[in-house]
Amino acid sequence: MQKRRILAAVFVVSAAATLMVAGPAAASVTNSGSFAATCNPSSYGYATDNVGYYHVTNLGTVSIKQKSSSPGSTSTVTAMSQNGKEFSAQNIGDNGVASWANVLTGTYHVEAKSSYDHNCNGVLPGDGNYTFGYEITY
Amino acid sequence: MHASTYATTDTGRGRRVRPLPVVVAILLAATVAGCSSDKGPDLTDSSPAFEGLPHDVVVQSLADPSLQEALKATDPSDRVQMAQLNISSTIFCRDALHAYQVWTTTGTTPVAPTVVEPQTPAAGFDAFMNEWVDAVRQIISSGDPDNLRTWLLAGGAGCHDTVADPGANPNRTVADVLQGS
Repeated sequence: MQKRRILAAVFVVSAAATLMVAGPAAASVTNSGSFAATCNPSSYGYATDNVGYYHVTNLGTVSIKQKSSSPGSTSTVTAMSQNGKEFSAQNIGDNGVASWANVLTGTYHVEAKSSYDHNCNGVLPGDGNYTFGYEITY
Repeated sequence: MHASTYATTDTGRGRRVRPLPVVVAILLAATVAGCSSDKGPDLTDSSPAFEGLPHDVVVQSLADPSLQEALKATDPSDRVQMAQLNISSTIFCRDALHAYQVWTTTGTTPVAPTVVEPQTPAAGFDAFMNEWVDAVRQIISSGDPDNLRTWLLAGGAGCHDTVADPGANPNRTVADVLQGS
């Protein structure tokens, strides 16, 4: 009887150890935001809201959806790591999703600019900006 | 959530409605205010922030236009951290590639590369690099070099686009080496 209890205890401890090594699967998180991005990408670079999103899962997936654009625009989007390295850029429109696989653990910032030069500024000089609304899953 | 003060965007300006001297004064004030609000650290290859890091890698990284654009788009208070991490992760990527090559060539399981640190690491530096070291350590302990290859090729801001050996070829990246191109 005592031997059976010891065996059961060993089983519980080893199962717990296995779980600790494997770790729980990290659930992905979705957040949203918006910022002003240029409508004149041939003259200006990416804009960002400087909000950092911490991606937990090493070699996991990160996606950015363009939820809205005002005035309407397609966007070139990427995300930048703390070390200044960026994802490969992708072009998306409203409700379009850019996705990257095998993303390393780390904090990322969303970046966007219009994917083409166009006037977002009416009669005012320059092409101006548009509001890029996004949703990031990380 | 806040809009960025550092975004490089085309704001446009309203039409001229004030007398010229007033407009000039306003523009001058706006320019000064704009400069001061975006004043980040002056990062050159001789900056104290890079003491302890190999000078040639510092020079290479600071000459990279994509890093310069990234630094401009980043909060000034985070720029030292970004530049230090860029340099140290570049070295780490090259060392990890070398470890992979030794592993696949000799069959001997390599040791995970160590981090080359600046003398004064910025806040957040160790946390970031420790993640990388832990990841590579775990990958090596898996016993399968293909896992290290996958990590090196990871498309998300990892090592894949790091120049592997600038002395041999300034354009050949880690991904190019691993993919034999």
